[in-house]
Parts: sequence; structure tokens; C-alpha cells
Amino acid sequence: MSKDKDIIVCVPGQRLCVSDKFNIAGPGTYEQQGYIYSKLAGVIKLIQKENTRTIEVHGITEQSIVPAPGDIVTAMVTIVNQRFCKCSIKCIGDIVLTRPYRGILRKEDVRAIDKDNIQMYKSFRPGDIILARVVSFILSEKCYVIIHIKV
Amino acid sequence: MIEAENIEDQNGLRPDGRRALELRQIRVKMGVFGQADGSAYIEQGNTKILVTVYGPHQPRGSTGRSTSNITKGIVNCQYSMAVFSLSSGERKRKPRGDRKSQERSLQLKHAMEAIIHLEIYPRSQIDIYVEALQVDGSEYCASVNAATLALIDAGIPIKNYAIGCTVTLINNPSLEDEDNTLGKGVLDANYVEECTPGVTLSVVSLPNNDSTSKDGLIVVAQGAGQRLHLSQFESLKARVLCGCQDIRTILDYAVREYLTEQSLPSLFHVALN
Repeated sequence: MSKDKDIIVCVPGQRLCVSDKFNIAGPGTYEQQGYIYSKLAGVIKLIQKENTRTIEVHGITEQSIVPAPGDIVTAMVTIVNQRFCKCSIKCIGDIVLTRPYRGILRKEDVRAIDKDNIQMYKSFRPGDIILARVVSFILSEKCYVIIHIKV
Repeated sequence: MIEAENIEDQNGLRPDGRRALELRQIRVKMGVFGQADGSAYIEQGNTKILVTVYGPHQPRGSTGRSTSNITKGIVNCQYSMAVFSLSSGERKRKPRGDRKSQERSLQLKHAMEAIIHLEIYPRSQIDIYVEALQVDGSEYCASVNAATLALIDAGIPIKNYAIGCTVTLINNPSLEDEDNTLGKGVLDANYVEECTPGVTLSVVSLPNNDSTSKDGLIVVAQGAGQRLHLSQFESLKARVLCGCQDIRTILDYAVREYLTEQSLPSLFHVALN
């Protein structure tokens, strides 16, 4: 491997280096049979720590990620109903998604206390930007269940 | 119909003047569309293929409903041949939906599932649309090559290049006593050669990038035409893997050129951070 300052362009499937205690496979790479390979076309970035070196590959377009339970997401309310509102998830953490994911916010998930007196129409309107946490995924409706977080 | 003297070779050369292990000229263009996540256009001789990739996104329609596996992403492939794609002058009635296209779609899906890291996209779908604009032999292999390039352009992590190449055993008795190189199979057959009496194998493999080991992992192999004797298979396999290695070198060069030309400023930005 060469020095940090150089820009090394790599292509998918390119063998980068040996995988051992010193070299660790980071994002954009994968390990196979004791070697680290690139899985993106882009540049190699090395992160030096005391005893280890993490090898990362950054592509041209940042790869889009998928919401996972526990993620904090920013969503826009699209449809408000008496029982729930539908949202489109725009960001996960501080990463802006290339295309939105559907989410559903149920009435009982709007706030933690005084759940009986929640009125959806008074809480949300279409177009509102909300901060929420992903809880699970409903397979039948193919959307993520999210819980509202009071900012 | 193809006349008999057209197939006859001259001095060990093929009808279009190539040697047995010579590929057709490959031209590659990546990132041809703005609105798709990734796209690529490939010309292998007169075979012209356009591929677009959308995704990963949330599954829509029936593809998402039918899946029971939620820990992995879904690959949706659609192979279609343009109605004007046939070289013989006749028009195709339907661009897609016929048996041949459906079979191609399925085989393309198998090849793509083998290289994409699907486990990092749970409950998501990746769409790959292949359009064969002009067909002149080896179109399935060219579409695999183009799909690989489109996936790279889309920034979808893949294990390795999936490289398709065909090998055709030209079953011409006059060849065998004169020149044995053509008789053992020719690479990257065009339409005329695919129509000759003989067998065509389309092989998709993941060639290693180090030149020390010549063989790669075969993902999909399909045969067309007559039956193939098993004793000839090993030599055909060795030839087709050699062809895959050559195509890989060409595509590798194209990808590197695309990377450095198109996105060097943004790459500098990443590297300096």
C-alpha cells in the first residue's frame, strides 16, 4: 500500500491488501479468504489508528442506506388520518436519502404520556417535518413504523 | 439464408476476419442517463445494449409482496429487445414478455444476485432494465457486462465484475484437418457464427484480477444449439475464461477512465477531508 496523500483509484473486486490484525476492512470493502477487496469504484481512504489501519473506499455517489430499527429519521407528513399519519422518510441521521422511504406514525406513538387524548388532526398537518425513531417494519404495507420525538 | 461459402474460413480466419480468440471491438459509455441511478451503454461489435439501474428503493407492486425473505434485497431484472433490434430486417412483434426475454431476465437476475451485496439492503429492491438496441450475437453476455457497469455507476457495492462471454464450437468438418484453432471454439460469436451448426455456450464468470490464476468462478452457463460432448467442454471452458479475462481488462480500463475523468474534483474532496 502506498502513502495516505496519494489518491488511489480502485474498482470493484480489486484486491487491496491482506486482512490481518493491522489492516481492518472498513466501509466499501469486504473480506474474502484473508484479503480485503473493494466493492465500489472510487478512492481508497486510510484511517490510521495506533495499532490498526482501517481501509475505506468512497464511491462517486455516496451509497444510499436503508432505515433500520432504532434509527433517528427526519420525515415529512403526507397523509393525516384519525388513526395514523403517513410520512415519507427523507433523512436518516444526517444523511439525506436519494429516494424517500414510506413510514407510518400511529396515533398511540405520537407521545409517551396522555395517549388517550391524542387527536391526529390537531397534532399534524400534511407538509410537517417531524423527527422520529424507526421501530419496525410492516411487511404487509411495506412501510416503516416510526415514533414521534418531541424536539 | 446464410450461404455455405460465407462460413468457410480463409486462412484460419473467421467470416468477419477475426482470429479464434479475438474479441470484437468493445466500446463503453457509463452514466448516459441523468434520471436513473446508474446507466451504461456497451457496444460489442454490432451488438448494442443499454442498461439502467434504479435503486435501492422500497419495493413496489407485486415483486415486494411475493417475497418472504426480508433480510436480503430483491433484484428485479427486465430484459427487452427493441422491435428494431434484429439485423435481418424483420421487426419483432413484442419487445418483451416472450419466452426468450423472460429466460434472459431470470438468468441476468441470477448473475446479478451473485455479485451484489444484497445483505446490506434488507427490504429493498434494485431494478435493472436492459434494452437490446441492436442484436448481433452474444447479446446476453453483452447485457451482463453492461449491467455490471451500470451497477458500478449507481454506486451499488458489488463483489467483482460479472463478465459474460460466449464460446462457439464451429462444427465444420473441413476445419479439423487443416487448422485446429477454429475447431476448438471461437470467442464472442456474432450472429452469423451463432447460426452455424454447432453449439454456443454463454458463460458468466467472476474473473480474478490477478493474472496468475487463470480461472474464475462461473455463475451462469447456458448452451444453445446442438449437444456438446463432455470431452470438448474443458477446452471450451478454458477458452471462455480467457475471453472473460480479456473483457474484464477492457472494462476495468473503461471504469478507471470514467472515474478519473468524470469525478476527479469530487474525489479530491473526499480524499482531502
